[in-house]
Amino acid sequence: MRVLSFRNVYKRFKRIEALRGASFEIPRGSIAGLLGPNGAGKTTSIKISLGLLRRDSGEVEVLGFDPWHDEIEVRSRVGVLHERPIYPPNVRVSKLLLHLARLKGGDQRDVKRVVNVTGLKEYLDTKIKVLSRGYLQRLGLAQTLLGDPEVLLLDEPTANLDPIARNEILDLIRSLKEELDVTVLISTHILPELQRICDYAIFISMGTVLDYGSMEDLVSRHNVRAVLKITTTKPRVLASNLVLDERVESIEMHKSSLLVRTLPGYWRELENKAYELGAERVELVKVSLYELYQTVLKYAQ
Amino acid sequence: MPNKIITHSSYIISTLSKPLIIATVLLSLIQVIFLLLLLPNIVVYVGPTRPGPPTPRYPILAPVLGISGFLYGIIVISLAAQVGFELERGESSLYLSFPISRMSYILSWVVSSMAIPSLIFLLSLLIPLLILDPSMMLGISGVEVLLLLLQVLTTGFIVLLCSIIFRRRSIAFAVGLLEYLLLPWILLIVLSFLAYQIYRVSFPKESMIWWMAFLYPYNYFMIGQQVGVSWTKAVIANLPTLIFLVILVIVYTRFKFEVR
Repeated sequence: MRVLSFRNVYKRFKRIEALRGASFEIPRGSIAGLLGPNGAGKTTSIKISLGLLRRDSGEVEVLGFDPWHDEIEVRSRVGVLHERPIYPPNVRVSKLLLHLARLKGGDQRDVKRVVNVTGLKEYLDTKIKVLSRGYLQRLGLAQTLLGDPEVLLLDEPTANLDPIARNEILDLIRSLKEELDVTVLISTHILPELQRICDYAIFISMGTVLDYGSMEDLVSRHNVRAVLKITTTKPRVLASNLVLDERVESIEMHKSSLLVRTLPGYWRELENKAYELGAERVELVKVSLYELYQTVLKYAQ
Repeated sequence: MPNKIITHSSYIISTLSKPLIIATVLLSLIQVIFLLLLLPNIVVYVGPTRPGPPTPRYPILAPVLGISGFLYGIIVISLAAQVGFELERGESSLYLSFPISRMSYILSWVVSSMAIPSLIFLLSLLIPLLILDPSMMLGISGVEVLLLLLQVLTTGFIVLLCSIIFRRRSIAFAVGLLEYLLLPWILLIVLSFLAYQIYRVSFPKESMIWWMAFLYPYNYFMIGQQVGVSWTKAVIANLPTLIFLVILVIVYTRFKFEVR
């Protein structure tokens, strides 16, 4: 079941056409990346999904609701972290979170829960203006989680953060997804960092969606390199069989699994071969999003 | 919807509590000082035994309202322009990402920037009067206060509309100052010049100041008292203007208001 869908959506800001017939959908339970360069239409898509901007034409559905007309229904079920979010500087963390929790029909207990999840507990009485960028981003995630949302829309969640803070935030997003079972849409122009958490991608450029789908589908469609994790009881035997295959680029052996890097376009065939050779489980664990993006771009052109 | 308006407006007020408290204290002090200074006059004016023709009531509150009304107007303009600041900075997209409708968000600003300051203004006038001498309340007509409220609310809605259309505090604030402080006096100076120098007629004449009633019912009434204008005319002219502005704010918010 899809939680968010855009069908032929157009949006213009005076002379700039931000979205030009954008169409995509996101299935429930995925971590989707909305990927594209700056000015591609990512933030506009997120703001239209929330009912903050009105589309000029086309159809948008979020959890079955039209966000412009049913703004309350959508915003009750969705948590959002905006790109470069602005907070009232002189307000304390606890006061802001309590107010936002109340808007979602919650109370102090919700605030306690989200500050525990995001590690903000010690900063509850701190004024927002003295928080570091990393903690501001944690505050952003904390407000996103208020009211148990079904969908999280995160616009450039790692922007302006140092590498350590970036990894912390990405790990936090992944753990949130696992613990809370929410659907996550992450918009970013930094492709490599999303590789390890996305299982679905939407490629957007100049207001047009170039392609979208699960990683498996995209890798199959666009012939890019992939890394497969093959779980087996006999990794050594399987590795010796696969190493002779010319479609395999490299193999990394672990205790009960193999990480196999395939040449472009062969991962499905290698998956089948691994099962034939006695593999218990084969997963697509890594795709070069950059390579995928380049291929999608070429294909679209 | 009303719950969300109350929740958000009380939050806005709590974030603006310092300037609001300062403004309230200032308003109260100004009104107390002026009332104390004018007390002898007030007693004479409202006393039942004063001989001669009935004196117009406006002089009783005019000096007090002149000063505190100015401050009250500036407070409303500043607060209504604050919406533009929130939209300009992007803070509004944080609040509007939560289940509060665009309409409730704007209406909470109407409550915070107009209803609450108006209440403060009224209380800061009434409480000193009650403390000084409750019997003075009987001698004071509410007309001037009502007209001043209408005038400031008209300006407040103009500023609010500018805030949500232009999303700039500076523009909304400048429009407010121009409309509330400068425009009526510039036009009056021009009209009095025309009256005395070109048409050689006495000023004010009702035919020359009728336009003021639409936006400035208080000024219209105060200036026009010499030529016998009635306060009902001011209210009748201003109310449709105010209602039109309220409808404009509602329609714009419902159909056009976007948060970028």
